[in-house]
Amino acid sequence: MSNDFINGLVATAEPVERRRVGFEILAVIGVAFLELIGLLVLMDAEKMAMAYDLSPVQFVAKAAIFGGLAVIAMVLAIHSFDPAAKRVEAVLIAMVGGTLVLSAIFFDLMPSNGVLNSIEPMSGMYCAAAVASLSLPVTLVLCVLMAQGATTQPRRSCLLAGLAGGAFGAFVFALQCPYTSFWYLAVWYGGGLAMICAFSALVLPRFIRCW
Amino acid sequence: MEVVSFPEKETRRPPSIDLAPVGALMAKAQNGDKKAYNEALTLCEAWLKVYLPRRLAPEHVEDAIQETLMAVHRKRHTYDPSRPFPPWFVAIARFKWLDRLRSHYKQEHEELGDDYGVESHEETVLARLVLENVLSNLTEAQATVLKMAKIEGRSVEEISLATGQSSSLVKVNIHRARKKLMKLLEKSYE
Repeated sequence: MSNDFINGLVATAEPVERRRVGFEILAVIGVAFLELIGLLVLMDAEKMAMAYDLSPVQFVAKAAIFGGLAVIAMVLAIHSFDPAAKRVEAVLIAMVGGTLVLSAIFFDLMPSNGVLNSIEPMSGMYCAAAVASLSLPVTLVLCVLMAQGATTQPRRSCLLAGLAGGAFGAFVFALQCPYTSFWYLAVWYGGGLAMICAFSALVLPRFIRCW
Repeated sequence: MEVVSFPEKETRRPPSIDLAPVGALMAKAQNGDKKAYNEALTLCEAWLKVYLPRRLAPEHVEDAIQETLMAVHRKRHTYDPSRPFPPWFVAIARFKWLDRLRSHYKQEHEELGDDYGVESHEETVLARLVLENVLSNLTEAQATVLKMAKIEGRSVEEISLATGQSSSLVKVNIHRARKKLMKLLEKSYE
C-alpha cells in the first residue's frame, strides 16, 4: 500500500492540541456546578431545611456517599478515555460494595414503620425518575468528552459516565429528600442509578462515534 | 487429529520492531512535524505488518492496517508524550483488530442462509483445529451444530434434520457458539 496512504495522512496532518485531562475534569465539574446552582435556586429551601433537620447526620451521609461516588466514577470515566486504560471491574465492584456498606452503616436498616412500608412506591418512583433525569447533564458531557477521547472500551466508558451522572443526580436529589430508610434508598436511588447506567451502557455506545 | 492450542502468553512474542522511539516522533508530529510523523507512521505500519497477519485472515490484513493507521491519525491528540508510546498504540491496534473480527463475524452471521456451508477446504480444516481445542467450552448442542456446519460443511436444513433442532435454533446455536469462540479468542490474546 502504503506509502501513498501514509503520505496522504501526513499531508493532512496539522498541529493538534493535546488532550488535557485536567480540562476535562474541570468541564465536568463546571457542568455539575451549574446544574447544582440552578437546582438550588429552584429548590424549595424549606424542603431542604426539613430534610436536614430530620436527621443532620444522615443528610450529610447521603450527600457525602453519592457525591463521593460521583467524583470517583467521573475520574474513572475520564481515565477510561485513554486507549491504554486498565480495566476497572474490581474498582467498580469495590465502589458498589463500599456504597452499600456505608449506606448500611448510616441509614435505617430497621425503619420504625417496617421494611416494606418504608419503601413508599409513590414517592419512590418520583425519586428514581428524578435521579435518572438529574443525571443527564453530567452523563452527556462525559459522553461528549468520550467521543473526543480514544476509548477502547466504549461500553465501559459509557457505563462509568452513566454511573458518574447517576451518582451526581442522586447527590442533588438527596439535598431535599427526607427519606433515610436503607431499603428506600437501595430500591429507588439504586433504581434510578441502575436505569441511567443501563441506558448509558446499552444505548449510548451505538450513538457515540469515537473512532 | 492433533489438537492445536492457543499460544501461551509467555511464548507469544510481540513483533520485534521497537516502538519505544516512536513516542518522541509522535510528540513532534503533534506539533506539526510532518517528517517525524511520516517516520512514526512507517514504523507503526511495519509493526502492524507483523502483528495483524498472525491474527487475521490474509485478505483482511491490509484493510486492518489502514484502519489502524487512520485511527492513530484521528486520535493522535490523545497520545500523552510523557507516557510510553507502545501501550497507547498497541491498545489501538488491538481494538481495531477485535473490531474487524467482530464486524467479520457479524457480517458472516447476517449472510447465513439455509444452504449455509463452508467456503473452502482450508477454512474447514482451520475451523476444526480451533474447534477441537475449545469445543469443551461449548454446550453439546452448540458444539454439534458448529461441527456439522464448519467441519462437515452441512447446510442448516441438513443439520436441522439430523439433530432435530429447528432451522432457526440451528442458526442461533451456530451464532452463539461463534460468539463464545470469539470471546475465548479475545481472552487468549489479552
